[in-house]
Amino acid sequence: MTAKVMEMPHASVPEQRDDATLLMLIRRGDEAAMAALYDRYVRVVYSVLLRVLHHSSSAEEILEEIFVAIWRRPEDLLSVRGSLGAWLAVVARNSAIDALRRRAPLETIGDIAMASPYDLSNDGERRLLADRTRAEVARLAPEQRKIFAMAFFDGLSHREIAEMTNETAETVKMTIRDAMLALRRAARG
Amino acid sequence: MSVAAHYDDTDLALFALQLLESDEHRAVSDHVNGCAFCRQELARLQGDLATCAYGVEMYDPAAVVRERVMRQVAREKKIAPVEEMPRAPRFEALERPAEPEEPTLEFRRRAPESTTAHRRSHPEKADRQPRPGSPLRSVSLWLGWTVAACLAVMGTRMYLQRQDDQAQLRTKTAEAIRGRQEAEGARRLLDALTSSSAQQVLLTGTAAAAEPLPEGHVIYSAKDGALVLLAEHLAALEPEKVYELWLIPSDGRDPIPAGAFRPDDRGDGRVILPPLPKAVTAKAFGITIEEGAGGQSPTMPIVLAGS
Repeated sequence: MTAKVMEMPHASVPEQRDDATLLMLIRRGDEAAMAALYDRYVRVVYSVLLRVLHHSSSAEEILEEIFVAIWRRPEDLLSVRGSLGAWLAVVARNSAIDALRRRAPLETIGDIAMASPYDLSNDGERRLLADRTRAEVARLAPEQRKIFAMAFFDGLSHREIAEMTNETAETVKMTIRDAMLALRRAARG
Repeated sequence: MSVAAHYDDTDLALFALQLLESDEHRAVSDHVNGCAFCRQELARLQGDLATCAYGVEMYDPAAVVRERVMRQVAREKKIAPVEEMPRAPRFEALERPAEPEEPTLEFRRRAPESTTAHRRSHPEKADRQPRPGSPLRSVSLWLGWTVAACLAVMGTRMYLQRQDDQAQLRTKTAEAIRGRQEAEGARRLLDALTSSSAQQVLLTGTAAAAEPLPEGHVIYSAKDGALVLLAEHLAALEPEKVYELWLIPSDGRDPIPAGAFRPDDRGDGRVILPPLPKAVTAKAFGITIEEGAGGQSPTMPIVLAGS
């Protein structure tokens, strides 16, 4: 069951503590801090999962795994350099692609920073980033948008996309890279 | 796939998207692990992926998902494993006297002509018929039930007491674990501060600055990768910037980020036991000003340095 949200503000008092503080509290077993972290990021995690999987039950299942994993090992995230909000969004996307392609998670590199110019623990900045990204995606050329979506949301390799679009693999790679750079410029305003 | 000294951003983009074949993925992973330049570019691309993710249309999951997560969280309390408690006997103890075959208070309403044998062979009929009974028998029955009720109450109390004891045990165990973790951190800190092999480095400003001059003191124990920085008289920063400490290895490798921090109102800042690789001998230390939560390579200029 999914409830579409039209930029509705949270009814409750916004959580003021930063991510690192919440993670430290979670490490000490503070369930309220876990609930606060969940409330802060559940929407983006779920939305990314749903966009990739198109199936609410599967998205909910992976969502639960992601947040329960945070509860079990918050110390792993204390070393996440950069933004936890960015990290969670990428983890959600990668987990969904793994599930979609029924493959084991690929080995990732530890201690890679998530360079984000936004404080994603802040609700307003999350909205600002979302608005700018959507506007930039709308500005991409239709073919570029399509190829990037095939890579990002469908998890198709550049070779698979090349076969499906009758482009060369090299063109597809460049198209994906250019789309990411365009979104980077948009994110930086 | 590029075979140059560094991977280009198209390859790194595919790597970040996890779209490379497994052998290609492994090759890039191996390279990036040892290349600060590519790590930095990869960090930017990971940030771009997060940007893309935030562009999706937003939905909320059903409220029941939150309940499930929080229920699981409550089940997995951060305590030492305690053997699972046997099923609570509480309700069984309280319910047993109310079972239908028990001679409940109905005997008060019963007439004397009914027999026990008859009651046994037709329990439901017997329930509706009076029992024989003298006042002494009635008293005995009352007494029996009073004793049974007392036993049930005592049993319940003992069970509740046991629950309290176990809750206290769990709390104490969790406290002990926390204490051990804190003691471990304190031990590492003490080792770093007192180790005879620890390097002590004074960091001073590299540019003219107003009095009092900013400075920092680093104590670094290479063998276990423990580091403490205490800095003072640091200039205030813009909200989106941080100071970042760098360890410059003596073997010529790229600087290693050793903790980002913001000074307090008095200009004091500190980094205590940042995550660092072990056995890296330091040639020098430097502090730069970085954007956001810090970077993977230093941004010039170096504001404090010492060797």
